[in-house]
Amino acid sequence: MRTNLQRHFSKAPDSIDRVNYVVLVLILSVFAISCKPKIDSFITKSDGIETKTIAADDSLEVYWKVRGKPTLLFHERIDSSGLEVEKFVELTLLVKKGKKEPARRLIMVQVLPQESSNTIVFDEATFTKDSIIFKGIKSPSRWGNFFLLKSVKSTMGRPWTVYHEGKKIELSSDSIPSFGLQGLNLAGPWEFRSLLTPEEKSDHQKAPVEVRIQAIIYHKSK
Amino acid sequence: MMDNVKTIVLLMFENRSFDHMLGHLSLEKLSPVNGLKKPLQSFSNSFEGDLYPVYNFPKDVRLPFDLPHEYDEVAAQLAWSEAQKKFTMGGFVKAYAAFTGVGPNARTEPMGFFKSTQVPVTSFLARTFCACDNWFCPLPTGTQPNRTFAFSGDTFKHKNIGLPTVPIDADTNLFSWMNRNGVRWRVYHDGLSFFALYPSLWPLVLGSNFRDYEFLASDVQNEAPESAPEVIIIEPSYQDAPHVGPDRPNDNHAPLAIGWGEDFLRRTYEALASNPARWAGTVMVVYYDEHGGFYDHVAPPRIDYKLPDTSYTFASLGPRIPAIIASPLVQGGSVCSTLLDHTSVLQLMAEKFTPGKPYSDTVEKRKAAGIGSVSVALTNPNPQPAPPPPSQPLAVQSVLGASIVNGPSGAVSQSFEAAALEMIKQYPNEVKEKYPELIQWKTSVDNARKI
Repeated sequence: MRTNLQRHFSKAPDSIDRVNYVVLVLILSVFAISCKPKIDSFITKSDGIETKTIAADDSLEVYWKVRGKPTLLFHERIDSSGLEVEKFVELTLLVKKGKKEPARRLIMVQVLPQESSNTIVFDEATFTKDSIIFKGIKSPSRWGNFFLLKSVKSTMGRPWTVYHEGKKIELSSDSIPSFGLQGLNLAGPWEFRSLLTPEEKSDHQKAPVEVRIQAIIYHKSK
Repeated sequence: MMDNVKTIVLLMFENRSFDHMLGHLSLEKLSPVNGLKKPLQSFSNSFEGDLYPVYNFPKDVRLPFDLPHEYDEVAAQLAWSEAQKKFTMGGFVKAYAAFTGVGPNARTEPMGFFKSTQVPVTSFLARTFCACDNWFCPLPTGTQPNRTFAFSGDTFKHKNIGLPTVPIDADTNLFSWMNRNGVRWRVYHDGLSFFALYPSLWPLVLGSNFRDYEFLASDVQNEAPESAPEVIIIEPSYQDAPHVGPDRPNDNHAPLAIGWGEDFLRRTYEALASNPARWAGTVMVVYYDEHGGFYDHVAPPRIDYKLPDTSYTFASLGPRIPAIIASPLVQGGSVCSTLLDHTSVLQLMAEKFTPGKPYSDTVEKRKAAGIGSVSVALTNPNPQPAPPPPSQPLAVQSVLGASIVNGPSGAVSQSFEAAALEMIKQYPNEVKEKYPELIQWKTSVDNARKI
């Protein structure tokens, strides 16, 4: 086929020749690239919902779309380097194709107890005349919709107004937990507002760089 | 004290941050450096509502891929807060997620660090000699500008370029400076030298002052003091350089496992310490060109630098890197917290070889801005013999068969390959003699990349 194409090109005018040459190079490039092993997608789900966090009794589904021969490596890992011992399932997808360098991707699925604590944190602040606002989305692809809120509390020594899933609650500065969001999903959009002190109003450098709210969460099967 | 310095040795590795390599020193209470401490949640980044704390790599393995660490990505990692008027160091996970295009795992590579048992040689040297915990790479950008800055005190580009035409100042590059000032020097390279990326230096790279790394130990032991080099630059085998066959990169550039570099560091230290008389006057600086995308918790100081053509101004230094001054002339087990960057080495050069005359205008400006000299750590009047390094075997898992078929993908590796090909073309005989493995590499590449 290559010979036929070349013969065809040799009879064509120069401009067409160049265009065809470019097309040929593109085709060959695509061919060369397609020879490489590739992982187009690799995700974990539970009950059909994408997640990287499950409870011990959950079943885990693994989906991939690859070019090459896939091998899935699986092992459990216990990490005790932090405040609490944490358990993970490590899934490594290895894709081989001929003698090319294999493609590799790792997903760590965290395995939580039925009830656990979680830090909700956002670090991009905006300011109004009298308030500091943090907002963002707690990742649904990491949390799915399996973990629900039991309580939330401010551990920053300041009060916060919290908006989540259409509800609004007030958190006091004295770390007393609020149960106003009980039963709502942990994942999804959050917004936190707090009044600025006079010092913070005149100098935003004195305002907090992030909001950290401590939540108690539970698996919805509980 | 400078009179006691007879040999300055520079060993620059690639792409690791201080907390990643040496943060364990404070965590394990081995040395009072400004590193990691419990609770580790205090050293974290946030992303999409979650905390991503630092964590100990469970084992030393090849990472799935290199981490983002080019100019724009470094800016994202430093995360300048306009409200706070400071770098928050909070963008390492964000930059990684943007780079990979997938959500990060709960334990994500930029936040990983090594324990002392995983980097036994680095850890040993840091706690036996002097650990520098306030040494930053000079510029918040990638490899080429930082290395150029390290070896000349200036750079003409603020980003990596993928061509074998990296410019370096003809007067202030370290080799010109040493030649001009009568300093005896030598480069020991394990594979193709990084200086091959500067075409203006090719006559040197192909000359007799560039020697194969395998000669280091015998030269140190056998060379007479009056003819031995006063400055030795030691180059590991670069991940981005052309490789063929069993040749093994050991420059610590991710995604490499760290064990290869640890072994190289051990062999280098053993070689230098193998001549006790010579070691007594040796100052060995082990440092990294830049942080490589790995998290560090200390924000770099706001010291600016304008490119010579004034086309760009950097507003700060780059992230903190691991640096060790291994020498009998430092206080054993000391920590140097003086602000240092790669030009601190050039300051040391000037203090030793041209006392009273600064290395260059740029280096002098940085000194005036508060950047100290390596000499600040040389305060020990009673040198001790070199203790032996840890002799334990280093277990490294690796994937064999990294292919040369696909060719280089990043700017630095493209630059390396283009430089190698151009050198072979322009200096075929010299390359055959100096870098015979490059000829074999080119044959393999020519065969492998035929469509």
